[in-house]
Amino acid sequence: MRAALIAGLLLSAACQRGPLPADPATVGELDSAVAALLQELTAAVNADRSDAARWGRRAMGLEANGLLVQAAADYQVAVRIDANEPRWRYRQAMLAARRGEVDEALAELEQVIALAPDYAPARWRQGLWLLDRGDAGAAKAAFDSAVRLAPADPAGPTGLALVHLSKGENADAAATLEKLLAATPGDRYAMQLLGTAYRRMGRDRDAQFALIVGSTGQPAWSDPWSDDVNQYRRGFAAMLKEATQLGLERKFDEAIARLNQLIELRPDDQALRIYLGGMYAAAGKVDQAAAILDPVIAANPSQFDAIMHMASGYLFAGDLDKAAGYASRALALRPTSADAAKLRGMVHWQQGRARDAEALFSAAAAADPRDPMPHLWMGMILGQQARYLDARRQFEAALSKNPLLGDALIGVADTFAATGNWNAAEVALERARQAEPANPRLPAARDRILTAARARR
Amino acid sequence: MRALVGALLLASVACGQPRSAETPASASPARNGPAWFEEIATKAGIAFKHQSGHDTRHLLPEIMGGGAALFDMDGDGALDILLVQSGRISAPPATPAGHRLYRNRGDGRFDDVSETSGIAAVTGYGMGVATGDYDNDGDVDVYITGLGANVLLRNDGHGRFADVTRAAGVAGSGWSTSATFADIDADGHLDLFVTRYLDWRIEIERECYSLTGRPDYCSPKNYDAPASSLLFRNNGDGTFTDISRTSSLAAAVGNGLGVIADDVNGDGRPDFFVANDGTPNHLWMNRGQARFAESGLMSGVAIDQDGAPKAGMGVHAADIDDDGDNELIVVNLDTESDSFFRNSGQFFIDDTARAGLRIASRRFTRFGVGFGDFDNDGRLDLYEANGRVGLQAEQFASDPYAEPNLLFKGTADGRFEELAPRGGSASPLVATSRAAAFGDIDNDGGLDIVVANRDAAPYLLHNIAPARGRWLLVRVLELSGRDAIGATLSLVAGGRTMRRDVRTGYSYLSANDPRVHVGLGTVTAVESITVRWADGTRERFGPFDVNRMVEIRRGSGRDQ
Repeated sequence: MRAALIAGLLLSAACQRGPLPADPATVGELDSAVAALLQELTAAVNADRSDAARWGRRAMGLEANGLLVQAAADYQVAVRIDANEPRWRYRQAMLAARRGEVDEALAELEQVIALAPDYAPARWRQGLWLLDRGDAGAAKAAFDSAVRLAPADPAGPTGLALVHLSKGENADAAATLEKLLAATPGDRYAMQLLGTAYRRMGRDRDAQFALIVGSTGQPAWSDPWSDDVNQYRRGFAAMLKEATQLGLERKFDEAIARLNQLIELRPDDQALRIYLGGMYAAAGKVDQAAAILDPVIAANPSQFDAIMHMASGYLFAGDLDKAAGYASRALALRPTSADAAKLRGMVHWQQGRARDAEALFSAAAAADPRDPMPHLWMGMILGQQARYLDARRQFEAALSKNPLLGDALIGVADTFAATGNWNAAEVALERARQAEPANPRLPAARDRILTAARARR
Repeated sequence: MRALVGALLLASVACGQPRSAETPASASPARNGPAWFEEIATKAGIAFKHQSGHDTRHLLPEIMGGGAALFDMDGDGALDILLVQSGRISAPPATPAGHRLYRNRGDGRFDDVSETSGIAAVTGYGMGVATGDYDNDGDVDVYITGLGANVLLRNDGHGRFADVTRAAGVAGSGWSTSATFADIDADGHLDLFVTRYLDWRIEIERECYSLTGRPDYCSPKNYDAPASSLLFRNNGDGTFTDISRTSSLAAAVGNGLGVIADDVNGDGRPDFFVANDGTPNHLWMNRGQARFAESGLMSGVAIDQDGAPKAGMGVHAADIDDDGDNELIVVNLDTESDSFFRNSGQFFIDDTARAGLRIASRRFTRFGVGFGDFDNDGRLDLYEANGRVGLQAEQFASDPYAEPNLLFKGTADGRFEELAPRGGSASPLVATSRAAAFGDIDNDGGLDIVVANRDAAPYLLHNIAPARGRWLLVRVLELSGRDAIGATLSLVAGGRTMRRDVRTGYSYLSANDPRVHVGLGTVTAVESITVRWADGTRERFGPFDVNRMVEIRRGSGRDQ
């Protein structure tokens, strides 16, 4: 009896403390920033091993940095310590689904839903996994719940459309998606599914537009309990991605700061140095770019990326002679490079050499058939030369690759207006307004074309 | 005391212990059944070891090879094995790649005939292989793809090969991956379609890192340098004309890895499906006059219902639902499911979930793939050869890219169920698998598989599926005696009409047995076989007894 009592006390104490967390040093070679994060999270767990949230945070740190087996183990401990916290169960379910263990994931999700009945992402995830398993009926119920809980979230209606498509109910899918797109017109994934529904209904013209517009779409639905994990991403790859994103958002100073931090970590990384030079060039700081890139080019005169960055930098800075020199070198190094041809063509165009520019844009279009921009620029050049039919062909070629390219739609409108086809011009302008309402050229184009139309009529 | 020990044990269970970070990932699914395959490469005398050439830098081509072919090089009726070596990217141009050719002795063993056959002399960094009798002389010729120039090897009929690339004009350029022969214009001469991955040179290689910060291979997206496919039209005189531009193939680019020729719309002309890695897949519809139009998006195969382009690797096509047209399967990267596209006649429908392939496939990165009736029950099964392209914390073996392969059993309702043991072999096989070539190496009616493994020995998977059903193995020949690539067979047996195709080019970097293998379950006879030849004419053959190999030669059947 006494032994049993002692054993019970031991059991209770062990559970209170929780097990020892696995040592991050045992998982193999780690990026120093990842290792530092894991050490910090492990120290927090060791400070109070009975705190489920500490285990959960360490699990997120592990998961965010690709250590999924270890993350699953920590979530498991967090759930055992605090069975009423749904977030750790949710992450367990996500990891199970990632392992292909969807039955286990769904069972876990049932418990999450019982604990957090108002968390809509759990419902649409449940719907998606049920669809994966081929259970469209149950998936529909899950998506219905998601719609009820979060009517403004596109996940629920999109899920319902997926259910309709899986059952061949194409008109119902189209109706659901049309309603969704009326509320959120920029949802390219919904557009893609709508194109699929139209195609199956035989509405080929509508389908073609929707499929091209939606071809780059994928679900990007809000899920705070998943988004939370991302804050634990660390290390070189994560920082580089962040710097790239900042550059894309034209936050160049922040991007440059990040890249300089990375260079401190890897001072010998030549590719990173060239990337930093390119970021300076994109920021219009051509002198700083040159300070980094010119020595690189001097050491390796065939360093294509560095030469391209210098050409871009001087082009942005308006130093066309220097831009031409670098762009020519790049093109000589890679005569079939679409990017080099575009850059050299752009310099020619700025220098007033439209025919040379047109030839290079044509070469760029052939070298990379995905890219609408050479066609757009050729259209602009041809329009300036009053070759309106040829210009329109180029704008339409650009639109065949990106139907939402506002500048190309404005170009089409201009070519129609120039040939007196006012109705077609107005239709094209309206399409431009729908496709790219914030296009800065649109107000001027509208004034120009509509004023001319009124005057001629 | 016993109570104390019990309570402590209970404490350890109740509180839970994290799985050790060293715990290897499970290579087996939960339940076990009988093995369907026995790995016999070493026993059969296959001593090849693939070499990616990886040294210190991670150069992208190193993670993508190697290739494999099953073909009868000497016309003795037994399938021989060609294994494509990668080699060393920095090797001098005249360095032999190290491809090996193994002649099937017919007694379960293979002889290495690489030197005498001329295969050993082939140079370049190798990737994949295509087979076909391009000169209609009745023996099988070989086309090896790689980084830089590809190589066409003409067979003298006795398994000795001469490099005729320059004379034939099919060297191509860039980084070629999968290739296939097909008669695009029904002139009786096999043309050649070659996919290319991306415009890679060592100068554009980048430094990439895994999530945990280890140097690793880059994604093709890091280069943004997709390439167009190549198409060579056979002039009928031993030479080819590069019609990549005039056929419109140059009008689209992608990171091409897998290719299959298939008449997807039933107009009698072979179309080409190209599986692209991270860019939309291409479906090149044959418009006649050697012109093609890309219609992947409108046909529903450019992307599947998950939205963004997946990492398409291997591809196969087969009629799973007996409706007379072929479904397509494309295998993809881990976390991305397979894409199973059901052919509705006018376009394809993503039916991956209904086929049961959404879940099981997602855990692994799949390359080689093939439908085949491995247990001869009359339903096509599915094999997928797997191996990563990037490091992950969880490892299945000491090779960090290695993964187990997958075997699915086809069911009567058109679904696929994963079989255990995983991959179908009694002992777990874990490697970085790439090509998977399918064929019956011992002519016993059971489909066997050769799997090429990166930086490792290949698998020769001998079919030992228990209680296999009845079968028929059909060799379909043109008048010239060459395998009738592009012919379609309609087999009537046991109240079913099954479509099967004569083709060698599918999977990934692979060339396969041209003979048509049909599992028949308990059916005792094949009532008839109607052949639609590549030029559209039809002949009817049969009836046939089962459990045997038969030869169908053009002109010897009954006109339809």
